[in-house]
Amino acid sequence: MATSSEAFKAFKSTGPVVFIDSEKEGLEKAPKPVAKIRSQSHMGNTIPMVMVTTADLSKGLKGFSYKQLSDTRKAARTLKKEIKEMDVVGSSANEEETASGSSLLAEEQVWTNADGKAITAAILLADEATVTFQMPNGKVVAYPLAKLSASSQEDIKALMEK
Amino acid sequence: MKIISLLLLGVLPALALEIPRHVFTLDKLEEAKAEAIEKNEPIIFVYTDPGTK
Repeated sequence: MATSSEAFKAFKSTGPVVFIDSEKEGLEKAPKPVAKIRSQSHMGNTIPMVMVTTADLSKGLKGFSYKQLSDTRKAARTLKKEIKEMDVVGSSANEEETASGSSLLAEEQVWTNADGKAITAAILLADEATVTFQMPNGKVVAYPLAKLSASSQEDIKALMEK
Repeated sequence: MKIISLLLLGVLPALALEIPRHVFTLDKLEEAKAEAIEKNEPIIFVYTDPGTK
């Protein structure tokens, strides 16, 4: 079983460790790349989980789900090995994912669901089944694509093909 | 009842997560960022509930 205390300890030698209180703060105040990693389907919903970003917070590097943290020390060793091949500072301007939203699939706008209800949100990610919305309050919500109106589905599919 | 309450008061803090001194909170993110840039390291975010160990 992965514990938060073990994660704090195991990743200490890889880089600065930041605690996000899932009860009090959620991911509202967290940098966007962190929320983006969190929204990936392999991350699941069980805590603790670990998200890794570049030093300048511009890019998400990797996420470890609760399951992947079952051996926390091994996860930390894997990360250490992998980051040797990565740009961990994140200084390359063309890859920068800024708070202005360049990392988004779509900027905040109004979408509609199949019942005609308006959903104001930006889109972080989308695949054939799920669209990951970022709500105006920063909350990340996975939503079934099939439950959106036909026109919103078409718009999102067009964005995915770009 | 009094004894049970006293026992719980003793046990509950031990069950809560202790945040080590080297761990930053989100309001100290800029400090974590400065340290990461200086040491050429990534930033590790541990997303968890402080009510659990």
